[in-house]
Amino acid sequence: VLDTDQLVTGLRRHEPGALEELYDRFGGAVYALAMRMTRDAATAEEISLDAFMQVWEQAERFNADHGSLQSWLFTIVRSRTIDRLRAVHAAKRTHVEDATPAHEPARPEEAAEASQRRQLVRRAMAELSHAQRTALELAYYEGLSHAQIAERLGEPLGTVKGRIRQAMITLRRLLAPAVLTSR
Amino acid sequence: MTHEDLYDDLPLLALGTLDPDERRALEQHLASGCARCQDELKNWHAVVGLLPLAADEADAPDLKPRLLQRLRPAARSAKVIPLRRSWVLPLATAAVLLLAIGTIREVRVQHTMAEQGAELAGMRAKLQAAELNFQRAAVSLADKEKNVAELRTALAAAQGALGVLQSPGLQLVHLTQTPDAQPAEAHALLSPDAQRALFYAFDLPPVAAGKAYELWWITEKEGPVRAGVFLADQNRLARLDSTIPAGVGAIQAAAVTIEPAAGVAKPTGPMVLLGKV
Repeated sequence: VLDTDQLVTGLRRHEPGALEELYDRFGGAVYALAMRMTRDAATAEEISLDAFMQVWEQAERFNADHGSLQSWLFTIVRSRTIDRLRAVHAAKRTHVEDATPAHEPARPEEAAEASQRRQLVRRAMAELSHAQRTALELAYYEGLSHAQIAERLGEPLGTVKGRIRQAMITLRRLLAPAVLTSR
Repeated sequence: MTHEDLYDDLPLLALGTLDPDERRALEQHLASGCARCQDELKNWHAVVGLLPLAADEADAPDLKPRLLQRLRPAARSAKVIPLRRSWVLPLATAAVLLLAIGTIREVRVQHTMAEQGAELAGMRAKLQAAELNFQRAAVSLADKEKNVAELRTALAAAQGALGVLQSPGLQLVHLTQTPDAQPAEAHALLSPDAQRALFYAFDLPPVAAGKAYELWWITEKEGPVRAGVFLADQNRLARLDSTIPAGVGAIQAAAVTIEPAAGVAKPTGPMVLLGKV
């Protein structure tokens, strides 16, 4: 099992084993994020593959001072997905019925850690009000701006902005242990 | 905007929801070197980085092998990708495009091959023409070499004749036909000092097959001494470069007889020309 520094070094050296390790750690989450944002299995798969390949090809650009490897990977997935959604504005949002069971990392300790972190984030999201969670999800998963969210929800711009800011503050407080390890 | 306003917008910057003007103002502030905001932004990025974990779990079983397959570009094209309904049309389109590209390439290749074939045929024709010119040049060169050899021979003969003409004590003998012979005449230039002689005959008729004219020096001591065998050309002209043997005494006359083509030691045939010195 490689630590994060070893993993990044391996990626920069274009060692296939490093990419395999990266996928084992984050493949499920990456695909789940793309799937959550696109709601299309084929598109989510393509975005996931492209994101991992971008990390593989641009690993030398990763800067740990700007965030964790996981955060960088998710940012890539999110950016790619938002670009895709904006490009195909009328993209089909059909729910895929053949979603397969969740992927679990191969190693028990990683699986346990990932599971704990996932539970922590879900509990934190559950602590948000419905209005906060809705606005936050529109912002994060659909890449909408404050103005677009306000228009979508039919609410004042300032209200939406304040609601999202408050949601972020709540999450940060609840996710503090994970935030410290993610930086 | 105050610093606190900017500071409050950091989670929104991390989330990516700020309007362009707000984002630009905050990024300028960060670029100015505000360490507090820069550090705070990292925390917010960490929060945003955790949000995907809240997504419903999902997995694509074949995603990992497909990812690793991408690391082997050469093998990528051979990979079997399970078809989904939404991929059928793009794949069919891609197949048609590939077929079209292949057809275009085939046409281009054939066109290129045809052009190269025509170019090759042209080069072959040029090569054949060059070979023909070379052969002609070789023949011409051989002819010229032959002409040069002939000219050298003629020049040597002319130089020899000139040597005779320039020698002191030159004697001229005029030969005319004998009473029973056809009309003809000849001249012989004798150079006893050079021991050489030049003989020129005119209006000589052709002789029978196996026969030839033979020139004789009629000498004081040895009588007839052979001076050479010759034939008249198509213009009935003949030329002979001969020698004058030593020890035969004075040459008293010159005569021409018709003899076997190989010549004989002493005259046996009819005399056709005779001239006294």
